[in-house]
Amino acid sequence: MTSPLLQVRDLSVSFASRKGQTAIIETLSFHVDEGETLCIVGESGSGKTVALMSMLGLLDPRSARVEGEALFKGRNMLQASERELQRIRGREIALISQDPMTALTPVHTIGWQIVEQIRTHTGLSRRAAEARALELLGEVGIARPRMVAEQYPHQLSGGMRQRVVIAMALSCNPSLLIADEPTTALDVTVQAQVLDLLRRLRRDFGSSIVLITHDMGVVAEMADRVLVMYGGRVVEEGQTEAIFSDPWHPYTWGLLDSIPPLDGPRPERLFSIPGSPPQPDRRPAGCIFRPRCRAALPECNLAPPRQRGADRNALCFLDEGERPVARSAARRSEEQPA
Amino acid sequence: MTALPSATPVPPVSGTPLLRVENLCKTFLLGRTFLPGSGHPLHAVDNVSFDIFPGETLGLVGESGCGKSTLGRCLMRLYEVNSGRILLDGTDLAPLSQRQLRPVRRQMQMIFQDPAASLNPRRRVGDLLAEPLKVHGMGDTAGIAKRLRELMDIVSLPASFLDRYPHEFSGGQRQRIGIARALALNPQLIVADEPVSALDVSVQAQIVNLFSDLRRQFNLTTLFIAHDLSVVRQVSERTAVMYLGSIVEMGPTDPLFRKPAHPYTQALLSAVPVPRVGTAARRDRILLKGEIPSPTHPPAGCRFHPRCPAAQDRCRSERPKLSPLADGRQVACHFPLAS
Amino acid sequence: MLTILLQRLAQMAFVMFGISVMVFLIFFATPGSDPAARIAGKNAAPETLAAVRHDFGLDQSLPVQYAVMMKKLFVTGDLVSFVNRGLKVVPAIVEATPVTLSLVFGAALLWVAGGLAIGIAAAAFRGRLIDRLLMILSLTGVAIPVFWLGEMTNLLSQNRLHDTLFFSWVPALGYVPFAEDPLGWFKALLLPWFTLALGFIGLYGRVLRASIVEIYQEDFIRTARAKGLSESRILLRHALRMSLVPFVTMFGLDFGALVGGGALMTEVVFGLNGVGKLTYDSLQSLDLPVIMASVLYASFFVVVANALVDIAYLMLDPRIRSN
Repeated sequence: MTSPLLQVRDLSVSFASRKGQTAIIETLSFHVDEGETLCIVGESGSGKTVALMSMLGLLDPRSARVEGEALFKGRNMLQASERELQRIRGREIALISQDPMTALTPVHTIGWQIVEQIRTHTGLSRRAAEARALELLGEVGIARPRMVAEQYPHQLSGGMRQRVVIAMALSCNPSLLIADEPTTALDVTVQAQVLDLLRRLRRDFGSSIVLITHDMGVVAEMADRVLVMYGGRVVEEGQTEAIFSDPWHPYTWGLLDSIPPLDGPRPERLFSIPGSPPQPDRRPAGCIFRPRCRAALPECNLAPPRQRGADRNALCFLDEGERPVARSAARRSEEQPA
Repeated sequence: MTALPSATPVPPVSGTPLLRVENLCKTFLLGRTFLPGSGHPLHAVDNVSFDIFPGETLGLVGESGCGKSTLGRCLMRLYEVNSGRILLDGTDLAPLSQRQLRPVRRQMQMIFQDPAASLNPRRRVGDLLAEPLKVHGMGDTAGIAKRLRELMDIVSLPASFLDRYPHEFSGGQRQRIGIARALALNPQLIVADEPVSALDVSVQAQIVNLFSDLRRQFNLTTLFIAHDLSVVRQVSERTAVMYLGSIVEMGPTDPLFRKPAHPYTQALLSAVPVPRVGTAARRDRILLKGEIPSPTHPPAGCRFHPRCPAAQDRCRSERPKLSPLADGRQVACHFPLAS
Repeated sequence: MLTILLQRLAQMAFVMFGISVMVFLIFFATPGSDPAARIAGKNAAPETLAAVRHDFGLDQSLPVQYAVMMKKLFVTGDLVSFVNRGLKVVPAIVEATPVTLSLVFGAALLWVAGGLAIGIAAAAFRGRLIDRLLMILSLTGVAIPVFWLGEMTNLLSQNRLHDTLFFSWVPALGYVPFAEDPLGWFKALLLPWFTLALGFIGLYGRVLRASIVEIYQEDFIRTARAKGLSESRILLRHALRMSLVPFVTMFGLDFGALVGGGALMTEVVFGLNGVGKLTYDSLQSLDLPVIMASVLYASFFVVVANALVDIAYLMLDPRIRSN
């Protein structure tokens, strides 16, 4: 068995605040295999973005403290010098960020910004880099690359800008593509185009993708494997099919059941998770999800164990035998209006 | 599948509508200078007509820039309308001055997308909720205090929150406060503009449920504006789909979602990623080409024809009117799909 | 782009006209005061008053008076001061203009260069010792009053240390026209330039640092980092240009105000007879024609500077260009 492309072990990130250090991520471990798409799911404050930014060294070192290990192709990113990180960023690991409206520098043309990245990492001449940029714009489905290359970001629509950001991310053939909510800011018809593009690119370029999202629909369409994060921890991890057909963690149940269906009968009420996600500085002791959990047990005041199965795990006291009963009880509890 | 068991009782769509909108138009002038006649017209709302019956929720869906929010604001008369009528219980609001509108404002209230931005951060929740009651002279101090506790109970928040400030609450709690404020005056009509889209998924379901509960409890009449199709399906009896300023399809929610008649509705529905894996989830996706054209330069003929997979010559020259189909829904298409 | 420029030019002309009418009305149409008496100065003889009335058309309607005034200022240029008997106003301003322009242009060059250097260096090392030192230094620069700094400079360079190697090159106070002696012009202005520029260097450095630090919060900076660019490239190519907008705005206001007479303190301390000094003297003696002329002159530069700022915006930010 080959070693994974990215192996993160016991990653912890905390930020300096007035009350001292606030932990955002606690002992996070996961891996990304060659050529696979891993979806990281979670709500605001779950730490899903911070985890990946910390790995790329994109957090402000004056306020963020990062511990643990993130081995990318065997090199520990967290120990790498700024110079080494600069060589990896944009060349081996590329980032597609959430809001295409603000992700591009407003004062430079599209072409200039793509050429800049190519020339930073390769010895290509300006002319060759320009040709490559046009080629990339064509590959992400932009009809008139030459015209778009001469335009400024504000002259393009959101969908076009996201294509440009993707073209730029692909410019150095990265082996890992990190996409942070790449379609959240887009309309649904444009989102479908961009997701389609990402799937096609994975097939053609063979990069691994880490896709951060909060939309279980996007997960179902894109992921090989899923990592569910809550309150700075992985609460459940597994193959996409397993997670959707038999979710283990009550939080995952909630995520799946709270989405109103597009077809079939309409439920009287949606299954909802009570309360709101905790602020990082107000996370409860024991199981972080306990205050919102409809299946909470007395022992949930203690740190929950990791239940393990073939290729999957969940951070919960409920074991195989208890899950089905607990889940149907949780569903019933919603039916009485609060 | 026929005759889906719908959990939400569909009220009889008959009788007098509470709100009747007739040929509403709203045009913005972009790039306007002091010279008369300058600026590009943007037809944000283009000849829109619809009814909402008492106790009904009409869902209004569309992508960004389709004019759905502008329409909502026109109904509230937050914008001046260019032409058309807005009949609330028989009274036309369109020509009324802001002063004449004041008594009408009690009858219709708006819920906004971002509850944080619509609540004054320097006022306590209690003051925020009491304000409309005082402005409209609804009861004395004791009566108002009682009403405030009632409102908090309706939106399932503890009465102790009345003494706190908006920033102390999470997004979901703030949206509950926004809803309580809108309900304070017992309005006849609620216009909810993307009320759940800023919320986390798990919290979104709570607020959607709250809308269902309120409707049952108070027989609320609501225009529910959202871009999320599944949310609209969950809350509304009827749904209207907007594209580039016009309604392209409107009808009872279940048939509209099951068998869309307009190619745009069909594409929109097929584009939503479904949280299921395996063969059951693989639907035939219609990938629309290109993006929504600029509303300042809308295409001739049917506004949707440049992106429509089924466009024909007639679509390029002649603009289809919103006309009824056999099953009671309306569609603006020369070649409707479900017939 | 061209239409924007033309629009701007038309606007400028309109604003200038408005200012001239306002200034005129303030001086000539204030109820209860006789403009003739004010133009003629204190204790003027009745014949002088009569001459003034006739000369300025004060017995005619206001529009005619305005036209006469404008003609005297811009067409014939023969506006005469009655207080300073025989002083031709327009030539006096024409003579003072190069002094002020030399002073302000040189100082502006220094403060733009200094402000950029300090702002960029502090932003590059933000949060570290260099940043803190630079910020303290620039705050000190802002806090030192120009007249005190000028007097101290004079005290050292003209007096105490004049005979040392440092300051032996410093000429006596006063202005040397560039056309007569370029080197002398430079020597005479070098210390005034630094004196005038110091406070601005501090201020501009601080403003630039603040706006760069703010731009660093933007998403596109994160994109630039994720592209693997070096920190210096991110700062200079991605953050700096957007950060220059407040810098340029301030520059337009300050530059216009200084050329329009705001450099008075420096002019007085260094014995430079510029526009500031001229305006100051005329205010002292309530010399209405001179005040009128210098206010119009000042407004011209303020308006021009603002138009230049608008053009600079167009060059800095493509988003403004396309609107």
